[in-house]
Amino acid sequence: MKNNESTGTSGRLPWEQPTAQQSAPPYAQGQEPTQPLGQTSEWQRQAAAPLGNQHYWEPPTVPPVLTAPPQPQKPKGISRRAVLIGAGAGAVGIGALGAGLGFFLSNRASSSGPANVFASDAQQVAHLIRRAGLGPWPNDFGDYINAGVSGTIDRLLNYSSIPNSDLDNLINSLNYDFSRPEDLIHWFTIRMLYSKHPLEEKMTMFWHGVLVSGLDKGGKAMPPYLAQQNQVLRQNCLGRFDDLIHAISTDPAMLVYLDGARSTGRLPNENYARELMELFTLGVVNPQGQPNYTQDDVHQGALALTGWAIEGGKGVYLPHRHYNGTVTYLGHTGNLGLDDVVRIVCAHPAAPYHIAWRMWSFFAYPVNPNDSVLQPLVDAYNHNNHSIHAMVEAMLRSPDFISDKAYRQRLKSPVEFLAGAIRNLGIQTTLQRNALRGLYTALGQVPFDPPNVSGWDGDKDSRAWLSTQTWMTRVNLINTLVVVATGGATGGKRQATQSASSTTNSPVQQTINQRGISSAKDLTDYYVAAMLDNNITSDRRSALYDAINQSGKGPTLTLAGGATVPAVSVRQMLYLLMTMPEYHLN
Amino acid sequence: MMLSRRAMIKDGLLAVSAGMIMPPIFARAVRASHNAALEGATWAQAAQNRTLIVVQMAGGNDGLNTIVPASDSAYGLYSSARPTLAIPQAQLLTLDGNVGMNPALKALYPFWQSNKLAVVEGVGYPNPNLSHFVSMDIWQTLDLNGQGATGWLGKYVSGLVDKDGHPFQSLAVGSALPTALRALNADVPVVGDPKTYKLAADPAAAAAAQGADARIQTLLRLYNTYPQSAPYAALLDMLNGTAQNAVNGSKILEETVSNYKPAVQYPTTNFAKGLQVLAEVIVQGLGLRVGYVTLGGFDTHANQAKTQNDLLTELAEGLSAFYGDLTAHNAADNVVVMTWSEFGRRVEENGNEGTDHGTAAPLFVLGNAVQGGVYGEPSDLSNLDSAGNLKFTTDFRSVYATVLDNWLGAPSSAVLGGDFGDQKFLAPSA
Repeated sequence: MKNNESTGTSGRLPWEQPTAQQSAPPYAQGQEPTQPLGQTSEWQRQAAAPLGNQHYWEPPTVPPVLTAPPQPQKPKGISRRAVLIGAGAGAVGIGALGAGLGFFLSNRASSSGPANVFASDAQQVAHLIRRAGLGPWPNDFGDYINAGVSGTIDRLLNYSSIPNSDLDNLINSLNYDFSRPEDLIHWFTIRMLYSKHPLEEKMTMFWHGVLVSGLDKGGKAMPPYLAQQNQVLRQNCLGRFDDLIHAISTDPAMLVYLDGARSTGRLPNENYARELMELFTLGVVNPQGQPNYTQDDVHQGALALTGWAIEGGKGVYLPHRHYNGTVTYLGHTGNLGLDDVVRIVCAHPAAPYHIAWRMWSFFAYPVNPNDSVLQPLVDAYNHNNHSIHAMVEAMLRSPDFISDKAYRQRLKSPVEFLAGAIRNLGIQTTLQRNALRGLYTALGQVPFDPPNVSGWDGDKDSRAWLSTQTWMTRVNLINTLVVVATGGATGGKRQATQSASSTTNSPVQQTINQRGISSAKDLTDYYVAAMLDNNITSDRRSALYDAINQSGKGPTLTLAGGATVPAVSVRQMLYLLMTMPEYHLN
Repeated sequence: MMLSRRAMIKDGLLAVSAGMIMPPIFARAVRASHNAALEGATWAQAAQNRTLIVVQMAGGNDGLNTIVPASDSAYGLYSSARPTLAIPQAQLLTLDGNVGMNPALKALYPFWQSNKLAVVEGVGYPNPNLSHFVSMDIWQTLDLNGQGATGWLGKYVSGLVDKDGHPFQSLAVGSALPTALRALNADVPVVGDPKTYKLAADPAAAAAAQGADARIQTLLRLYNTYPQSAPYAALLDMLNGTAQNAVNGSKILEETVSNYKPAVQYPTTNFAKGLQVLAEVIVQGLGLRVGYVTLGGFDTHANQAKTQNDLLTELAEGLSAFYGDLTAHNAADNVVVMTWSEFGRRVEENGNEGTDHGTAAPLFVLGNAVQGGVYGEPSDLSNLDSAGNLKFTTDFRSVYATVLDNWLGAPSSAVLGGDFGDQKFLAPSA
């Protein structure tokens, strides 16, 4: 694909058009809270209620339903399989990079060959890598499917054994300048698109929405601080909760965002002390509905947390700024400091419930903090020295996580939708970094710029992601992506045509070639399997057949055996497939 | 928002119901029939052409530095609690003997002088919660435990939607629906930028000058096949409504935007741009009853003076432009603006030239129909609660009740679930 020829006006990704989507919607000015978040709203109670056993969605071919839980299996060190898989994946090389739309990875099939998307447990595997990652990527989907359900959980959790050098090399080549918010946002997006460690990205995104700092405060200091904070979240994302909380409490971005760096023993500032308990560790009330803390705890906690400042881009402790006196904080009395506060809140009985509630609602489906489904996560926390890894593993191995209560019960978040669609289509792009923020704004989620200190509402109840504005942006995004996936388009106002040569190396054509797909019906069936777990009703499948069987002018894609199918008809099919309600759901 | 069959007939939508696509040519007819329908006997008949604009000042606006104690005794208490933040007495814009206004709000002062600005003092609720999020939930859902499911306006808006089925009876500017407008059975449109609020066509189909709508029709036909019995019906139902609403609304909005010329130069702030979107919908007669826009950033734990000054200026200049635009289009008489913020801030400033979370605060109601003046009682600076916060004197629900009863013509006791009195800044509906 030649960049200059293949990305005419109508074939550009929306964020590649310098004028499109650039202006933030008016609300985006709001640097601080815009939406309240009841922890136990009626919405969540309803969403947590059983939705019945009716399997409306059984298609004629009866794919596996998500009932079989993975076998419990304690990972001990690095599995040999993971090492082998990792080595294979690492063999994929990186090619040339271009500005804008550029293919940079060879579109080589994975070590295990084209994924058998019709495998019996492909549905569960796909569900897992949508929830614990950013969705299937054609080149390593097969590795997960071959690993099976339990092996997929191992592979997701123990990612450090899987080489990620392709991504590292790509990131290095992009010469990021983290003083620019645009670069920060682009960097995280590229990671979510192409990392071989999807759970690392997902966990980092999760913690970013819980332990919130954002671009709306701190001015020019903030973007580099947020890059630093992202590393803190990343490095501690599956570690010990105490370590994560300690690190974030002394993190420069957080010290700025919630005013910890300003707070001194003489003049304490309550901002961080309050949110540390309310949002980061405990919640306002415990699962029994009793308050976890008082206003006096907020004030005393603020005194105990004093003494921290930023020097040389790092959080440092300056004893003369610390409150030199006795405080009583959550029932503990003494000359307490930050270490004590972190220890106290992380050992508080409400903490694992709060974290488990956030985690389950983000990864599985919305629940109340007192839902019994959280108990295994709470136990994992309490019995494993506050290990986040143990909590996440307990979550992923919970029968409920992979049940019909979870399957297609969340709306994809904007980052899940964007990354998932690009990954589903196998599009390799470096994206235009200056226009991503506008696209994310219209989609309703800008990484590094959460709406307020409580993070994104959709992380707690995914229905908050949907509005008429965000739905329309999603559909228009698909419209653009399917053009790119079939080879782009060129042309002016009157005439939009696609050059025949551009279709040749298009992601869809490569999929056809790799899999030897010989009919429009088979191509449709492949995408229904790869994107929607082969799980839609026959009438909707028929609508997709009708779409791809429409006659169309212009460039064509070549099927195995030599027959052709119009690119515009393929786009019609993919557009309908990827805008269907099922595709919005995770 | 699912359009009822009756609503479609009334609005002339039935002719195009096959794909739920409304070609632009219908939009004017729809508006005409809608205007005609306003004469009909629907709920809140008296208020059919009235609009409420809600401005959320998110983050907790410092009320004491917005409407400032001006009497000598109160100013003394205020200025001693605010050694760096107190606004000099001489700089205050005079309201009455008791209170003055932050000079950053000078663009609103003409409204005060012409008796169109009401200041409601001491607004709050019992047992104040200092959490942004619990407090916002209380204000927006009316549930004093912060566990409400639907917004106080959502209940009202859902009634409107079911009766009229018009896409823009209510409209929020932004990308996410505010909780105040959340309804269980209605989907309020949310618009970020009207210019991009439409579905794009495939480039080839667009060039062929046909098929663009055909594909969207196919898509919506697919959406319409999802039954209530689907396991994830709640999510699908929402998707269906959102899609229908978006497609219907986008056609109307596209024409609206292209026909509308602002009569004033709006400030370049995003807040002002949001107000302009609402002005477009009002001026073009799309039947807006409730509009919502948010201005955030009021959580001033540090360096409050500049931050709040900038935000209050943005608020005042935006509202002034909005009002000027409506006035020039002869559309101001039917619009009332109400502001709110989840709480005010601590009386005593903290060590960072900022203020921590507080409680009661003033809010504004603005419009030609408003009877200007100060309502409610300023909280007593010499009688604070144990955390050093103001005690509220005016229940926020009494402000809502006044707007509902006297402006929107909706029975406040039904909407709010109780009788909370009347603040009288609006005369009872004729």
